Amino acid sequence: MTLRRRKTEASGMASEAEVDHQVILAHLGKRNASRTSVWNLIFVIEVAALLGLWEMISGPLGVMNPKFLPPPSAIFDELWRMLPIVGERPITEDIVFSLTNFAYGYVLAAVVGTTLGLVIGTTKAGELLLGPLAYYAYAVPRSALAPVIILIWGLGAESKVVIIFLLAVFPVLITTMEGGAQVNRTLVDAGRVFGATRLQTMRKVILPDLFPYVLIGLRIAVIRGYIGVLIGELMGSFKGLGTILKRSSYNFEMAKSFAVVAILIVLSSLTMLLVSFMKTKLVPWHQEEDLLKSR
Amino acid sequence: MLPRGPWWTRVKTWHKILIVAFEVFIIGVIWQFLIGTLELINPIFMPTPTRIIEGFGLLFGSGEKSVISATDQAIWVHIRRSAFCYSSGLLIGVIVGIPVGLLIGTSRTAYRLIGRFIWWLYAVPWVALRPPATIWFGFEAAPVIFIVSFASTFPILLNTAAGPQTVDPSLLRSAQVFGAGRFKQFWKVLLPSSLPFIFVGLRQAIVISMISLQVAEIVGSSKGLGALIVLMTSHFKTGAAFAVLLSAALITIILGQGVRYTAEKLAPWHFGQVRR
Repeated sequence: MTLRRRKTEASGMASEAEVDHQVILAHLGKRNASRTSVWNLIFVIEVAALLGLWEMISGPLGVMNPKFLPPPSAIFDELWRMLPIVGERPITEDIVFSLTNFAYGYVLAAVVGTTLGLVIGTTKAGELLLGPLAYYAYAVPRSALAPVIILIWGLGAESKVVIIFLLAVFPVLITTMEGGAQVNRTLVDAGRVFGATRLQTMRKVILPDLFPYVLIGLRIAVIRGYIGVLIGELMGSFKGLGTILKRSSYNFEMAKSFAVVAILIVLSSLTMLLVSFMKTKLVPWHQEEDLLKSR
Repeated sequence: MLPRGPWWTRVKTWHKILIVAFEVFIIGVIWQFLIGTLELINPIFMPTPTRIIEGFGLLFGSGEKSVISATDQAIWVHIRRSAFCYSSGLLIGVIVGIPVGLLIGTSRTAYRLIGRFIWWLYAVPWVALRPPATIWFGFEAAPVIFIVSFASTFPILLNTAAGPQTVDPSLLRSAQVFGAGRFKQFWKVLLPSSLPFIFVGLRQAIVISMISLQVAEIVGSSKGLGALIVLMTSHFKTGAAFAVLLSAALITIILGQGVRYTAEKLAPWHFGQVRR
């Protein structure tokens, strides 16, 4: 009897709440959906118009010389030809070369950057002794080291890995340091009051508070890493996407170089998405103040 | 009298400067020992600190000692070219970035119309545009300026655009209540509260501009500091190459501190409490 009553009560409440909720959600969803779909439509039209305009000015209208600014159709043709597996002249080897270098340099940068950042960000001695040095080293334009690095490590993959590492390590290091600086002191003190040891404070309070920043640093490092890939390969290499880009530009095959740029954009965006996905999975509680993207 | 805190609470600013100077000195001595004495890396490839100091002499010296005068390009040609490219590239970044940023930050419609294109352009790795830039703009300063302005526009633009979003709506409403027009609301409320964000963007842009300047000059330019680095490296004068590099770092640090100082003067309510 009581059980049934409780059940009906519960179900009634649930159904009531659910209905209410669903109505509101549906209402909001419809409004939002219609508005976003309108804006998506406008976006598609914009893209189509831009591509059409581009095609016209470097194609039939002849405003731009297609040697300098190739029409989108030519770029897509070239892109299709270069794609691995399906294309006629696939560039699989170069893509693999670039991506392997990126992976080595990036992982190395992530490990070193996080470790050093933790040391600097969470210990007072580290902050005082190494913090200012890290900031000053951050200001050195490390990409200008590329010629020297290639002189030391040669034209092969090693020099590329070093360049990628040098470019990608600092975002991770600096954001981890900043993360350590913003850890809530009250929480740390509360932990201590409740008798947590240093190790426990570290594991239960500081690291969870700091971890989102590490991931933000890793996200920034993706872009830097790809820039490093390009710098290393443009400076001197015998393989890789950057080499193809340079060679095709200087051979006046602009369609090909635009296609390489497109491949690079796709690759870096995919890596970014991967890291962002990792962040939403690993630290779902951390809300970023991404003011523009939330609109 | 206050009780004495732990040791780190008694560290003052000039202590910190002393610490950094001392550390740089120690690193220099270790570096000298590892490379100059033990020769872990061939000193021709990796210069010792003494050779870097010699490198400065090599760059600014004249006559027999100078490599640059041997190739008939005085150092000032390179410095002038780099200064020109850097400042004009950054200026274009500011001129484009701040107005467009304010526009898409204040207007929803503008953001929806062009926002996604800006994120796309931001995703373009600017280094990739260097070889095409040569084809488009030739071999003089123009392609370098293009790369520097492309790299510096987006940090300024996106940071500026985030500024008006943070304005307290009640401030805007109270401005309306006191009869401020749209222009006055913008000038008195939106712009001042976006100021800190503009400065943050500017500071990022100063660093990224220097990086893009060096890269753009290293890859296919005959003048400028980056070209000087390539020239010195290919003459195996790595000491001089490192001297150029350190000067560039010094300039970046000075410019960054200058912007920071200006920001603290102009927007003390935001930068006042940040200590670093």
